[in-house]
Amino acid sequence: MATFDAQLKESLPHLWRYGFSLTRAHHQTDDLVQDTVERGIRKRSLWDALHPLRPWLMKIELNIFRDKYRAQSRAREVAMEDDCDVGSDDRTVEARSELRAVMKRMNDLPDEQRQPLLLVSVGGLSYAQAAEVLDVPIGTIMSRISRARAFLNQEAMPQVPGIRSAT
Amino acid sequence: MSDYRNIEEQISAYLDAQMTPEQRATFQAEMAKDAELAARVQKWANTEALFAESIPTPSAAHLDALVASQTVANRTQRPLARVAAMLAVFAFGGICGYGLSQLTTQTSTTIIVQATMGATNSHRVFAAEKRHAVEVSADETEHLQTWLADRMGREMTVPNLSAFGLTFLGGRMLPFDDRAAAQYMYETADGKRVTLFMTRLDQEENTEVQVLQDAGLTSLRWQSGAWIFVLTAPLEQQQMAPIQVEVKDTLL
Repeated sequence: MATFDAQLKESLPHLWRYGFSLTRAHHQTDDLVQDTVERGIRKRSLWDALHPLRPWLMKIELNIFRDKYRAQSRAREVAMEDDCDVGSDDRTVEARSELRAVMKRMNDLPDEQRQPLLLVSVGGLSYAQAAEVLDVPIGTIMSRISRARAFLNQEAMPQVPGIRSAT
Repeated sequence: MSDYRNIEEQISAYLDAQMTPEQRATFQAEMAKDAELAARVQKWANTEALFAESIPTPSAAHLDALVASQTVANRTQRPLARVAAMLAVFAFGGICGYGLSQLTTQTSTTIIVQATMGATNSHRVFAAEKRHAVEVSADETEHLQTWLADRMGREMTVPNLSAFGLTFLGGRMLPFDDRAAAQYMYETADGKRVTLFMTRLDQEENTEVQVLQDAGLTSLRWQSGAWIFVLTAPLEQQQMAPIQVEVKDTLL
């Protein structure tokens, strides 16, 4: 297992992108990552060196976000649809509006579905690691992520146990 | 890993690279048989890639500055300076592969992974077809070349791979991202299908050949300027290497 410092370095881009997926604002993300790194270093003696560092840091990051940033972020969410930077690049109009629609649906997701999806798809965690961060069983992670994705793709809610979906 | 309770959990686990190799192989076999499922997986992957692209990737210098400024604020704390020093030489690992967790490292890799997934998925879907494997068959090669050249905005000469025992079957146009992609299909004497997928990317780069092996398929991927090529077949890498050289020479 790599050292704390090496893992911290390796985690930074993931922490930042995951942070951005939570705050949707550059400067808040910078603050969030700084706070996370600071708290992580302060609490490094509590880190179990047999476990990878990134999920541990992401748990810290999510906690800080929930404590400090969420109120501000909620206020931002309305504005986000209008001013969110969906690329000043040469994307087509259709691609941009499609992205807007996806972002809107991401926003509409219940928090309990969005969180595992962001941890896995943006933060790059495994299902087991996301389960640890969110303190729920791995089966719950799986079902929430698949429900979130069905919603993002505008499909019917997946059917649970035993029923093979026909959609 | 627990059992999947529905197809949506399987698609997710596949996209998140959370399947065991066996589960993955089974799922890919299902996709090969079921074009609707393959299309659905592709759609989910595209949505995900779209969202991933909306999240900027900070530069190493930016992250460096973030942690460095913190060092000043926390002089009494542990080795932030060292972390900052390491960050100064830190570059993102833009390693691509299958699985969306790997899509998230760098925006430009997103589209490359998307292209690779598009190429292998198209291979699985169309290589299994008998009558509809191609849209324009080899006896209309000239028309195919003109048509695709027009749509792709580049020379689309069909590489002659008969020296490798490959018969050209024809090609088709495929949608990719907001543009067109092309697929050429060949067949070996014993009926194995070899496909060449190509499309244009926004960033120019010249890369070495990358080899990806996944559930019985070998893909060789390379980029020449703005063009990305993925050669896919159920063959060994050594068999495909000379074919790749010929393709690259023809389509330079």
